[in-house]
Amino acid sequence: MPESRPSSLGVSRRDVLTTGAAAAFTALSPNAAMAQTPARYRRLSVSNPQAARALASYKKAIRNMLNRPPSDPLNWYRNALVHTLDCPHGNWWFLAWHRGYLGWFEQICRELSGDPDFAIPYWDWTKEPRVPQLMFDEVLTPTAPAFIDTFANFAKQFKDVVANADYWKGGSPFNEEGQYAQLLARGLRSPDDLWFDIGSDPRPGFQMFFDRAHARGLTKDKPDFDQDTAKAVSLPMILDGLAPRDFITFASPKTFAHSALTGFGVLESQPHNLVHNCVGGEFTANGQTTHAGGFMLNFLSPVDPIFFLHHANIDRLWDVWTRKQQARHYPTLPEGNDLKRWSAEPFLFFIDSKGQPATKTKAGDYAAIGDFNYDYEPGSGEEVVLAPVPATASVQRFGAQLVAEGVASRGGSVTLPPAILRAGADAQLFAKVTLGLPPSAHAGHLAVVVDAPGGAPLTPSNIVKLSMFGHHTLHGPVTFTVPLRAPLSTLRAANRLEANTINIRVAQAPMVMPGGTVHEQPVEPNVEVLSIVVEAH
Amino acid sequence: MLIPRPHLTLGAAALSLALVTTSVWHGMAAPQRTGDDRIDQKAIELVLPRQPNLREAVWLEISIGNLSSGSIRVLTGNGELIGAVSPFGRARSQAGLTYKLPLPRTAIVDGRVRLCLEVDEPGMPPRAPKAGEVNGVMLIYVPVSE
Repeated sequence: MPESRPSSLGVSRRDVLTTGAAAAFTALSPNAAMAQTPARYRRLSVSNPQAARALASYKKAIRNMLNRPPSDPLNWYRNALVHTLDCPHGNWWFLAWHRGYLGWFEQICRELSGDPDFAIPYWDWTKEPRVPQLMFDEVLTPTAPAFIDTFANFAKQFKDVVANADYWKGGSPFNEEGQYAQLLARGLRSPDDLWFDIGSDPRPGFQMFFDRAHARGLTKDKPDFDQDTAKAVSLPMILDGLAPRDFITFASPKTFAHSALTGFGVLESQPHNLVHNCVGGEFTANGQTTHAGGFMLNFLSPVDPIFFLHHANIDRLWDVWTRKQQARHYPTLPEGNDLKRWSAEPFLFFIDSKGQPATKTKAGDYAAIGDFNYDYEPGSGEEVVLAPVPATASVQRFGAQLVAEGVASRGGSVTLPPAILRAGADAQLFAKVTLGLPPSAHAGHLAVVVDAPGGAPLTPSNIVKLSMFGHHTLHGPVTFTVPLRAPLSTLRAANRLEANTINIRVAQAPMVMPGGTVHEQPVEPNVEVLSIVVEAH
Repeated sequence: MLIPRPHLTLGAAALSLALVTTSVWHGMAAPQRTGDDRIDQKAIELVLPRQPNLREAVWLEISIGNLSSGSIRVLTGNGELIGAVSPFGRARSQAGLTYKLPLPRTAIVDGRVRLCLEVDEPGMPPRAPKAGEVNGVMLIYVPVSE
């Protein structure tokens, strides 16, 4: 086993959550993370000859799952349906949900293969931009006879089981936090909706089930990616995708629920999407695009065993990015109130190795590799993880307690350590204010107001007007970075920092009259404050 | 038969309408953006308001409209492939989703970025996007690690 066992698994959910939003960043100390003991399981590259044992165990597990009756949650297709029913794409839960899905699946394979050391191999498509030949062997391809041959037969075997599944039962009174609430949020009111999505949607590219002859688009004789997909998995693209300094830019944008879509970061929009679609039969060559079909094209993609190797590589790259961030003292997760919101998202459909509902049911449970206790053989992109930077380069972050006004928050307050607020340190203090704006909004009419408890007339230096440039477009929340030097100097001069607490709120831009008098606008701003984080650099 | 039903993507669209952003003030860590919208032509040119600093990259953020099938290929003015936008799964049915795509530094010439957009559809030759298929292409400044 290699000596180097880099992994972010040492940063547990408990580390992240119990430290609270204000101190979440410092909890992710790279030194603490890297001092952990090696992982129990190692996920090898599928091209490593040592992965042959894992592939043999994988086949055993697949055969076992294919042979189980449809009524068994450990049946191969039942496990794939978990993805169909609940997977997030195009939002900031994409990485965490798939980490959980693979982690539980890995435990199922361990149990059903009888291999106590089993770990899912990963497919490093940057080094191998084609379907590995080994993945055409026996049940490692969904074109094998052991897989269901037609949609009609699939429906015949599974319709009753799905119709009677507990997840359609909403409870009485209705359980707003249950599985059925999640399905409704996804637009799945009944089994008929699900079956429409799987087999009846007539639109090209929307089909989920593919007959065995078309179960995978790339073939043993023609396994190579097309030019677009090769570009998407190229090393420059991967390195660019690993470069962002914050989680939301690295991952995908924020939404309010994990079944909603809003946009795609580079990792998801490029290697993730294009590998799915290319293996699923979308292929462009010589100016012509063909569409051969394949499970990987849509949300029943876990029917193809290569799904798990593909997503293991996505998960590996998240781990690489996390360790890069730790080494540079950058945040590894959403920050402040964003972290609370992100961590609390319910993931209710995972199944454990006994076929029982998984006990970890929140996104925050999958913020780190944690109890899954695996790491990765180094692969493409590992070079972005350099030696840890001295801790003096770190940034301290303090999340504000937001105050709700009606249905939305306009601001909050944050208490800072006295040393942070000492005279002369203001130039290194910034507030990161994340806002939700309506589509036609122009932030030019908004301002951030910084004051202290107790109230006092505002001065122009307490107000930082928000301005922007460029064209308008739909997007997720936006973060403004506000320097606090001027407002804090004013508050200190007025002896209003004695409680070490400052209030930060967003308002209609106040009018500054000749002579410096400030008139606040009586109009409520059409904006929601989603988080405020004060950074001390 | 098409079954009419509520769908979260509609709800999500409404939510994202409430969370719309346009551009970003001179922040340290948040992406900044500028660009063109309403793309209905093959070649476009974007102007970069300023050069990126050493800890920024310039990326494209492409908002896709009604593109029911196929993908959008993005090339430089010289024909070099930058990347493709290929919606996956339910994303095919939802307009207004954004896709980030790293831009090679060599694509920035004299503060301008020339792009060529092509739509690839099964069985059809590449073509320029039709009106409504691409909502907008933005240049964004992304804070990156050194």
